[in-house]
Amino acid sequence: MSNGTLQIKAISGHAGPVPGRDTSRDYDVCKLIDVTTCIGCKACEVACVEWNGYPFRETVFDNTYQTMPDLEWNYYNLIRFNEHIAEDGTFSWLMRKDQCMHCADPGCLRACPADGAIVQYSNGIVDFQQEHCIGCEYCVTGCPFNIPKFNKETKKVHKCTLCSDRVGAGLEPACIKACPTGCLHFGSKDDMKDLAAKRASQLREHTAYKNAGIYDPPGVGGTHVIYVLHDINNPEAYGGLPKDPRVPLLVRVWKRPLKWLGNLAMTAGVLGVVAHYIRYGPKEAVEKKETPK
Amino acid sequence: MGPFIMNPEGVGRIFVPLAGLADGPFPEHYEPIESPVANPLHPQQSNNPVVKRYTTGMDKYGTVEQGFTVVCTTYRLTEHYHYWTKNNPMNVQLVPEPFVEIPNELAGELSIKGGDRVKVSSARATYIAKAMVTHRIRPMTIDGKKVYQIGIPIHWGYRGIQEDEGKTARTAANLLSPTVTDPNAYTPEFKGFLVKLEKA
Repeated sequence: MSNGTLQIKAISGHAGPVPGRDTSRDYDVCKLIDVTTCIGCKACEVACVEWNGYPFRETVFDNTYQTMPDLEWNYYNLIRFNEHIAEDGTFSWLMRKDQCMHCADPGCLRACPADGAIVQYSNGIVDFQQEHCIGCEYCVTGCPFNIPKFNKETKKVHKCTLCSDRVGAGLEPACIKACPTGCLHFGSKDDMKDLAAKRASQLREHTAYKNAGIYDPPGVGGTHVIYVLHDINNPEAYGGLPKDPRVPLLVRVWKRPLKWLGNLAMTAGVLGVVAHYIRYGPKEAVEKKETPK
Repeated sequence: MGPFIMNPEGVGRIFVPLAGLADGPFPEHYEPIESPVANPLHPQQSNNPVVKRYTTGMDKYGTVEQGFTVVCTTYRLTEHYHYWTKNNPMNVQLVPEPFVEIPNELAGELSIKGGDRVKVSSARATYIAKAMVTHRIRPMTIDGKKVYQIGIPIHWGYRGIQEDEGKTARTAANLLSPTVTDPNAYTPEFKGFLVKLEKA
């Protein structure tokens, strides 16, 4: 999804500077998901599919209220339903809206080799530009949240855009607009962190959720989608939310030291060839005399 | 302002004289027509004597002695609206099929796994759907007896996207429930009745 009104901050696989960078100031946007007030109505799922213009699909009963087992290339947003029994035997039914977290340090963008296939806007939205995608799926490897999904037919990868087209026009994302309980909020990162902190302290002080807290993992530089969780010490209970997400080591090593080592080796090879030419000159072919039979 | 806007005094009433309520003047607890226990308050009059009943051949009531030992309740889902949305692809995608929610312990006793087809029968009809085994409904202890409860969402029936493709049973969940209504508001008693549960 491309959008002219948003300012690009970083581009995947791009040599040289980002055009127009730092020419204007933009606020970091943020989506706040208060899982403690989610009722699992899936209005956000429908709003997402409708706004993005994807068709409704056939699903099958799977012993759960969850619409499908995992996100799909044309299903960016999924409520994960989890029955959780704590160590003290108390039961809770956890619902978490799962979608792209829009990391400040996006593993997908780091891993992507195609120039311009993934961009990060200066307001924090990480957006895939399918017209530049080469379908290598490195972003799938790079994502610590397992979000990008590959379309086998078009060989392109898709994920939540945080409705960059709506946000660029001054609107909130479609999921935010659809939420009937006010569990979803959208605004600047500072405002949302403030609101989340208030809600978390309210939960700690006035309810039994003494470990309530904000999920804004520093391992990926913070995210532009943050959660208020009942128990910040156990994010895994919410359908596999990683406790300390990081860009995979392989991607980090491959894209930083190994890339430069490779460049060094290549440059050294070229220099070696030139040095060899200067020292020994061109290789002379030894002509073979053909002996007639 | 309180919720009792129909009363001149604006608050709820404990004493309702002048036949304001068919079963007044004081509030009273009655067991449903079909209940696993006799009313602990007054076992000789377990259920409401002025409840509205019908007298057709379908109006039969089961007892625990006849094998209807499981309490069944019916309810709606957030994803569907009554019987309309089973014709709408977006809602059908969210919850595609009817199901019966069964407590984990009861499923263990009957060796039912999630996704198995189960048959729920009351004195009036039978209903077949897939089982959703869950920890959310827990066994209850009522009057010293262990009582299991199961739940059936009501949203499926004769016509719909899945029904027309032959993917789900065309029976309505309310064929199971008794047609008895509260004598004041005429609210039908679809929230508590007795059934038998077995593998289909």
